[in-house]
This record gives sequence, structure tokens and C-alpha cells, in this order.
Amino acid sequence: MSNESTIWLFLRKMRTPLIVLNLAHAIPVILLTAVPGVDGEGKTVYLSFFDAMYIVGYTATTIGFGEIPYAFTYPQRLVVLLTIYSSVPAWIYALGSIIALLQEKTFTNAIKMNTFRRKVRHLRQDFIIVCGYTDAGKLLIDRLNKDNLYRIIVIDKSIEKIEALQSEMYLPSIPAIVADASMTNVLKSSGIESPQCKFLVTLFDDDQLNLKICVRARVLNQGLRIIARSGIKQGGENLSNIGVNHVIDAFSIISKRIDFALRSPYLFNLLSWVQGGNLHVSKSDILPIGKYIVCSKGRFGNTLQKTLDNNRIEYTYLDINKDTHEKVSSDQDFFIQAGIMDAACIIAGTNDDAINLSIVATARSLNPKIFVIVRENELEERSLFSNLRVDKIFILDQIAALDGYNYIDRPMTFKFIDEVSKYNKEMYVDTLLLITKKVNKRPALIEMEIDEHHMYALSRYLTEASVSIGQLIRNPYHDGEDLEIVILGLERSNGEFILLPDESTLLQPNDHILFASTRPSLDRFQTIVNHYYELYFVIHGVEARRFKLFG
Amino acid sequence: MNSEKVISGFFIILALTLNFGFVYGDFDVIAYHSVYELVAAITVNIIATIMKLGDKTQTGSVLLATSFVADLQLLAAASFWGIVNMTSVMTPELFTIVVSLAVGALVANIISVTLFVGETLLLKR
Repeated sequence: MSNESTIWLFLRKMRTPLIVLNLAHAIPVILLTAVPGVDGEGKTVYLSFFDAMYIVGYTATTIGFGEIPYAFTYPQRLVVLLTIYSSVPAWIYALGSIIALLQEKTFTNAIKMNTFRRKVRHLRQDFIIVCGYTDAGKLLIDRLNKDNLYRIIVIDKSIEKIEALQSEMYLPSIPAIVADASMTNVLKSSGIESPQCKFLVTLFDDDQLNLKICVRARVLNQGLRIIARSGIKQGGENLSNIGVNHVIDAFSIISKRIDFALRSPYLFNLLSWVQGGNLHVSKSDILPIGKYIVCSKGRFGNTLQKTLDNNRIEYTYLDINKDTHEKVSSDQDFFIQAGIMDAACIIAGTNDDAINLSIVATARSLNPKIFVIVRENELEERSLFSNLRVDKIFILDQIAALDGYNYIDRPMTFKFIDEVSKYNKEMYVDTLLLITKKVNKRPALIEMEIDEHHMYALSRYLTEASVSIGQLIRNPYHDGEDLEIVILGLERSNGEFILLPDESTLLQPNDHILFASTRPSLDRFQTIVNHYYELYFVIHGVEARRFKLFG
Repeated sequence: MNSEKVISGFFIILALTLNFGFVYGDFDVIAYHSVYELVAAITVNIIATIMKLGDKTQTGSVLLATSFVADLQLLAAASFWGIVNMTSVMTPELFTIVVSLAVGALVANIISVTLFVGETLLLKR
């Protein structure tokens, strides 16, 4: 039953109580006016309709005022007695029905759904629908909400999760609803058909559910960009077949990172930086060469094996699950047989955090020098893992959230990493050093389009004359100081991608640029590209004359 | 036969007939218009209104609207009558207002019954 009809059901259910109440008032009123009374002088008087209504009013609501024009005669008292016994239960019945209905779940849900629908309708900004307030969903929402480029709408089936979201007090507020996101009418209520709906993100752990949501979303809105998380349990192959624009697959992201780390710590570092880490190669970024032990079954294990095979790494594959776990934690021989004593690295990658922790502890006690990589499934276990001094932690939810965020906010990072990884090792080092030298070790990564919304003055200026990157960044104020900005990539409106464009590259309108920068430099840059006089000064070195602006 | 239709039809038509019964007669002659009939008309009108609650069809909503109009007019007539009685003496001029308000309700009730009958006739089942 749709929620709309619940309101009608409510009205329908209220029919009988209301009719009973109406009759219980009307009949006593008529009787009271018809029954003769006696006034103080013994004359026969009749109650007016107003008097009668007044008496019935306080009787029925059990207020029992007791103020009457003259003492009642016996026939009148009889009527009042009848009134009490008929109208009081009727009144209680009607009130009781209303209260019962207000407490009814379907009815309150219907009211909530209506409020939600109204909130969505009144959004005047582009928005994103996030299905599933999971750990990954929360991280993603935190990030997106800080940027405030899009408003966010959340659907989750669990009441606790939606309540948790509401207790976060996001600003701007996030309309959220407790509902099954795989239902078409729920998606419709979330405004999926609106042209302002730009993205739909589904982050459930269940692939079937994600699939269901994506199929419906695609049918409802062709232009929508859909991002789906490939669940932990099944594969994500189906997702890309049904028109999902981006599949978040935490396993292949981790495998890619390990792959990059094996190829070069610098490449690994660039990748983990665009995915939210530091831009600084630490000791733990250098994966050891030698024998690997992979403790993981299923999809993660398979992806890892491919990666290790590609890099010609020797490895032992241990299939550890709940059944064999008992044996593993108690029997160190199991690990010794697998060759832990001369292994260089162990990857604890099961889908159970407790098992992963026990693998790490056992491995460390046997071989203190072993390099440990851990997969963390639940965010709550974070402190436990960090106490273990593991060398690398891959937190699935965090990885998934950042991947989704990158796709929404700076899709060029994917191209950048692809392009960079094609080059040779020196190139990684150069790129990394270029960024860290010019900016710092934790630069902000920004993608921006040269259009009237983001770079007003520059986009106007480019229609008249050409500007090179160097003119904006190298020594713009002619004071000998460059802006701390490194342009990592330039994407032309025709899709052409230029990796690390040099300073003589000419900008064009509607170019997307991806750059690393510090906050102060970013502010300066934005001032330059958004103000005519500033831009003119930066390009020409002299103040613009007021009336000769831009030819 | 649909028992819900019988019951709601009964009240809708009774509302009209009672309304008509009250209005019938010279406008300014109080004796022609029984106060009891007005009270009955109001009561039945309210029941008719309640019977129309929760009907989500298109005609259902128009029916509900006409019912509200009739209720409003009849309650206005009754309140006016009551207030005049409490504060001054009812004159034929003032009484005309009471009856004309009730006539307004009558029009709404006629629309209501017409719609109801029309809808019922259109039903193929």
C-alpha cells in the first residue's frame, strides 16, 4: 500500500467514531429542547438550542460544569442522564480512535513520508541521493556536506541509522527517510526524476540490493549518474552492465594500491594521496620483496592473487574462515607450515575483523619482523587495529567513501592516476617531488572548471585573448613569488587529457583543471581568476585602464 | 449492491430533503420554518460529510467540498438565529437572512445529490 492512501485510510477509519459522536450530541440536544422545565416561579420553560448544546457540551466532554438556568425537572434529568450515558462513551470512543491512529506505525510513516517529500520538493539546489547511511555513507556525506556543492538526501531502511543521521545535525540539513530504497515510489519521493538530481549513490553491502536500486534509478532518470558500491559478498560485474556509471569496488582499489606499491612507493603514494592520504613516502609505503602470505578467501583473495602474479611475487595462499579459525589461532604450526618464518609480508584480509586481528597477533609473535597488511571491515574496530602497530591498514568503508567522493567531486583524479601510472619510475618521483617541493606534504587536491561559475573573469577573458598557465601561477604579482600551485592535469572540453601541462600551455574556456595547492594560494588564485582588474594586472603587469578593459 | 453506497446515499439525500423541508415556505414567516428541522438538517449534513471522508476519487473530493459548503451555510444560519434570539427580537427581515443562508446550503446539497446520482449511474458494475 502506498503511503498516500494511508491518509485516506485514516479518514475512512474515523468515519464511524465521528458519526457516533455527532449523533450522541445531536439527539440529546433535540430532546433537551423538547422536554419542558420549570423556572423559579413555576412557569413552564423550554431550554433554547443554545442552552441545550451548552449542557450537552460540558456533559459529553466529562467536564461537568453543572451550571444551569433553573433546577431541572425530573423529565429533564432523565434526558441528561441519557445524555451522559450515551455521549461520554461516544466522546471517549472518538478520542481513543484518533489517538490509536496517531500511534499506528503506517500512519506516522505516511506523515513522515509527506514531510520528506515536501522537503525534497523545496530543494532549490542540485542534489545527490545517498542510499544507505552505512559507515561508508557517513564518511561520504561528511565530505560532501563540507564542500556544499550539492545537497544530500538519504534513504535507509533502518530507523536507528536515520536517527543517528538526524542527531548529527548537518548543516545544510539533510532530508532523510526510513524506507526501502529499492522501491520505485520511494525513489520517486526522493526526487530522482528531478533534473536537479545529479547523482545517486548506493552504498549497501548487498549487491542484489544495489542492483535493484540502480535498475530502477536508471529507468526513472536517464541522465542521472549512478555510483554503486560493489558489495563484500558478491561481485560487481552486473552493476556495470546495467548502466551504473561508476562501481566502487574497495577490493580492486586495495589491489591496485598494493600493485602500485610493489611497482614503486612513489606511485603508491600519489595514489593514496588522491584517495585522501598524505603525500609523503614513509617507511611503511615500501613493500618488502620476498615471500607473501595471503590470508583471504573469496573475491578479495582472487583479486590479490592476480596482482601478486602480475608482479611476479611468490606467495602462499591460506584459506582461513570461521571454521578453520579455531585451528589457526590455537595452532601456530599452521602458520609455520605456511612458511611464516621466512615470509616477508602477511596480508590479513578475511571479512572478519576478529580473525584478522588474531592473524596479525599470531604472525607478529612468530616473526616480529614481518610486514603486516590488514583489511579492516568495521570502522568501530579502529582503535584495536591501530594498537597493533600494523604496517598498513586498508579500511574498506573509508576507501569506498573516498572513491565515491572523488568520482563526484574530482573525477579527473582517476585519469590522472591512470596516466601517471603509465610512465616510468622516474616520472613518479619527479611528479611527487614537484608537488611536495612547490606546495607541501599535504596539499589540497582541487578540480575546477573554467566557466562563469568558478572562474568568472578568466572564462570571459579567454573568449578575447589567450592565457597560459604560467601567466597565472608563476610570479603573478611580479614580486618574485610563485603561487603554490601545481597543475596536475588539464582536460579539454573535447575530452583530451594533458598530464602535468607545462607553463606555456594555453588555457581554453570550459577546460577542467586538476591542481594541488595550499589554502592561501588557492584563495589568491580564486581572487585572480574571478576579478577583471586582478586578472588584468596579473597578465599585463600594469593596472587596467577603466574604459579600455578587454579591448 | 454496495452497503456503503446505500448508507452514504441515504444520508446525502436525507440531508437534501431535510434542508428543503426547512427552507420550504415564505421566507419571512417564522412559523413556516421549524427549528427542529434545521437542527436535523445540520446533524444529517454533518453525517453526510463524514460519510464522504476518505473517498479518494475525483467526484469524492467534489462531494466533500459541496458538503463542507452546506455545513458552513447551515451552521451560519443556525448561529445567526441563535445570536439574534439571545440579543434582540427576531423580525421577519432578520429571519429572511436565516432562510436565505439555508437556501444556499440547499443549492450545495442539490449539487451533491446530482453528483452522487450521476456517479452511481456511470458505474458499470
